[in-house]
Amino acid sequence: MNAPRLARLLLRTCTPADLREDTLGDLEETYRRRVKAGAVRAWFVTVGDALLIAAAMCWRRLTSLGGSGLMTLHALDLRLAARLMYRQPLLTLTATIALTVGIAIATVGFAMMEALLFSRLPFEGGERFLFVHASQEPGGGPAMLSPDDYLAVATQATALEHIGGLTGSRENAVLPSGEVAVVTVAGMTPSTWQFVPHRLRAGRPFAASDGVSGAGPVALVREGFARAHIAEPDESVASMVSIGGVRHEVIGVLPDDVKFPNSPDFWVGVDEGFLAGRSRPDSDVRLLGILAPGASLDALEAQLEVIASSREPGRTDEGALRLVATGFTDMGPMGRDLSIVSVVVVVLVLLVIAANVGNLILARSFARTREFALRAALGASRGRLVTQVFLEVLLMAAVATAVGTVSAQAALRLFNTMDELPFWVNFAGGSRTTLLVMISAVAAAAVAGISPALRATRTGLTGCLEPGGGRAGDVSFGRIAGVMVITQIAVSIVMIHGALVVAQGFQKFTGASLDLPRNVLTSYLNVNVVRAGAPGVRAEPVTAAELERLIAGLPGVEAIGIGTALPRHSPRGVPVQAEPTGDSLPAAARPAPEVEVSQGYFDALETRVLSGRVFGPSDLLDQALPVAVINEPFARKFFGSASPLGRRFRVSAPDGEGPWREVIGVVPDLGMSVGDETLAAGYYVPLSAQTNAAYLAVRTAGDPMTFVSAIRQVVLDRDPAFVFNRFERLEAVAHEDRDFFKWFSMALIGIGGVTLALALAGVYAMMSLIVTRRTREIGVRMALGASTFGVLRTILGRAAVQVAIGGFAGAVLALLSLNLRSALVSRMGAGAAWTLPTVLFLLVCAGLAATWLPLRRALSVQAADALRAD
Amino acid sequence: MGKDSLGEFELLVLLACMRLGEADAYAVSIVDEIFARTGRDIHRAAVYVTLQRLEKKGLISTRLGAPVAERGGKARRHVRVEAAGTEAVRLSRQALRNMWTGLGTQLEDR
Repeated sequence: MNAPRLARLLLRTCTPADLREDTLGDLEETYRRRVKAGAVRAWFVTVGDALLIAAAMCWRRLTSLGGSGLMTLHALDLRLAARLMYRQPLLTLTATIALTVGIAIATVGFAMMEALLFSRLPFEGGERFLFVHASQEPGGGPAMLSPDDYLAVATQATALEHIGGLTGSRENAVLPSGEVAVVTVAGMTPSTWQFVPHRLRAGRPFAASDGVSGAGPVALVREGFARAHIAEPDESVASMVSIGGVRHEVIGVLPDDVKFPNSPDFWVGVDEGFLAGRSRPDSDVRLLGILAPGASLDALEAQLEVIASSREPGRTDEGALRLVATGFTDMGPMGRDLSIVSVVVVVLVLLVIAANVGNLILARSFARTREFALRAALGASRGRLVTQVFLEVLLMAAVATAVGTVSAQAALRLFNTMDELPFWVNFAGGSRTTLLVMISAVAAAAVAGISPALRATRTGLTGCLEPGGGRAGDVSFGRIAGVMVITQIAVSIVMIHGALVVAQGFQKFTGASLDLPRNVLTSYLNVNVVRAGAPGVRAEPVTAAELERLIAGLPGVEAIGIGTALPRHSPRGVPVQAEPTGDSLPAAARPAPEVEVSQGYFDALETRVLSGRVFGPSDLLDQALPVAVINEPFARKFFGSASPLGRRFRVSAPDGEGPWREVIGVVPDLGMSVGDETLAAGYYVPLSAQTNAAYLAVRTAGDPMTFVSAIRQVVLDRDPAFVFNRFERLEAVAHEDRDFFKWFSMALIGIGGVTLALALAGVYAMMSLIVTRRTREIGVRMALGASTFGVLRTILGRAAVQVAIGGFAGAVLALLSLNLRSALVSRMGAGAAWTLPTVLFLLVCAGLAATWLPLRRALSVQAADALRAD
Repeated sequence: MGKDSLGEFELLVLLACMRLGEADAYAVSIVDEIFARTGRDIHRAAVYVTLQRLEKKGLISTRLGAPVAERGGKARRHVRVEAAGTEAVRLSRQALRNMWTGLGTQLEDR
């Protein structure tokens, strides 16, 4: 009946030799006493005891050295580490850069995780804000609450200090000056306002009376918006603004730092009648709750469960009601999944980097075997030797942490500037991120430092000091390390090849010279969509044809058209089959993008008709024959050199074939699919009456942006609820795509570059180790007359095999992944033919560079020196 | 109090050692003695560290005894309070007495 082995091991390891006997004896004695009361409990208590004693002993050993404890103990090691770093700059630089990249990635990953999982509303009491969701069981679909349900929640959920409602939307606002702007609007039950910390710039906040049914519509406005579009804060109060077709009185101005709940320009009151069971709220109202001080989410959920079960069973068609509370900032499963992914990526990247750095350290540690042997002979324990190597890597990790976290902060600042980010999400990283990064740095240093040091000091160090003694232990570059090098080479080829292909697509995308007019205004719009329930809005929405007519009537408008895509939008291709002529066999379907356009589309883009004609009024009628206008690349691709006019083609999809369409005209390529020549061949068909989402193109006399307000006004007069999205010039269309290309390309280049650097570091480490291990053998072979080529072949053999396997696998994967990338980015193309060979050539050059230093060392070995060295 | 004066825990450990005597004073029995007389459930790790400190100050000395079967064949480290230790305890008692004097009424009121 001995004390737990773990406890004994802890004490044996951590207590000084002179105290070991009696501490172990005390451990046995106390364990035997305790075990009478229960073996399991005795085990845990004894191990806990041993842990505390071990910790106390370690701390005592450190502090008993006086002065600065740890620093005193390892000051010499640290100085030695600094000197080694200085004397081996290439290795130091390689390892530090690799660790820096790892720490930077870790910082970004952990900061993202912290932002996604632990964000809170940035004001006092913000953690008490939550949403109450209603769903129906089984199925989990959203449930409509009745006025009685709302009343039940409002009166019976006593864990809530307050319950209210929130909405969020984009609306047209007609401002006092007559200007029309699209604004972000937050609807809020006025009584909720008292829980949102704020200070007014002018006017008054919402009052409970603003939420009473029949109260006049009132609004609060953001200071920045008021100054830009209405007046100074004091003068903005009492202004009348039409928001979504309803006139609101501005009662107060809030500073720009008030962003609850969705960074709006206007806050408007929501009728609170639904909370008293008097009415049903708008369908898009979300139920907001604020926990009472001291109440827990669990208590609330228990109450909600009781409330839900007390409601009439089977009250919905689908099943029973279920009420669930989630934190206001809870990102749900998506946030959790993203966090898990980011942490897994961070851990994997850090592991790979640490393993690579570990290989470098192993190579160097092996070269220092004699030094280790000497120190061991002078009394240094193996632990001391290992600690020294660990401290060296820790020093590099410290530098890497400093540089990596600063670099990561720059990237995180970029994330924070994203427009769509909720205001409470802050990627700056907090205490959790700092702690995790520090743990990661120490863990990476441990993986990279301790393992190689243990291998280098494994056995027989003293044998190295004997005359003619060999190297200590059987230090080898393991198989896992070899596989890792191969994998990294393959991955880096895929990444860098992908980056080059994307970069080429980007270059073509931005460099395409399209013959398009510069005075065209565009906007994305939803037509034919009825906005139900908006007060004061006409039920009949404006149609596309009506929209064209209204805008065309404005002075200065030269032409207007609507289409499902504009130049540079690059719609996806559909399988198209040309009608065979004569006895020829039908050709296989090939992809070509289709765009629906109105009659005025080509005119708005000042399109030169190459042959035939464009659409006329008769082509847009429901019973009109199917016709199409094709672009020049389409004519070449499907009809060759023959005249395409009068020829027919159809969509030939697996799920059915479309009607044969007759070609009535040919136009130039208007930028159908810039960046991907394979999808440049496209065609246009008349705009369908069922099309809801489309783009507006208005050619104007003069600067097109000066027409924005007039266009909004004329359409709003007809349909107050119609919302234009962002207006922009034609040449700015698809700038998001350009940004995406740029970021995608940069990310691929970055990841590919890092991976390649890691792979080359692995190759370098392997070559260094091989040369170090075989110095004596090389010397002997040279002395016996071996040729330089023969020696090189022996040394390079393994590295060459690994680079070749990695290169081949990478090339295959790069070609295979083109399909995947094309699925992600339709207009990317396959890249030029020289792309892959160039990447492979670069890899060979980089591989040679990585092996050059060790090779030079190997070839400079003199037989006498090599033999004398041992 | 001076730099070398005893801390409260050091005093407790020294007093326990004096009560137990050299034959019975070792870490486990010191823990038991302090618990029995003060009700304070102290950890053995604290006793080890304190004994090391007291030994370094020259207030106690330790020696390994004979192996004991119920301790898995391990010996006990017996603690002996040196003259300097006894003197330190005496000085502590005097200091405490001096501080105590005149406070009787107040303490009774409590």
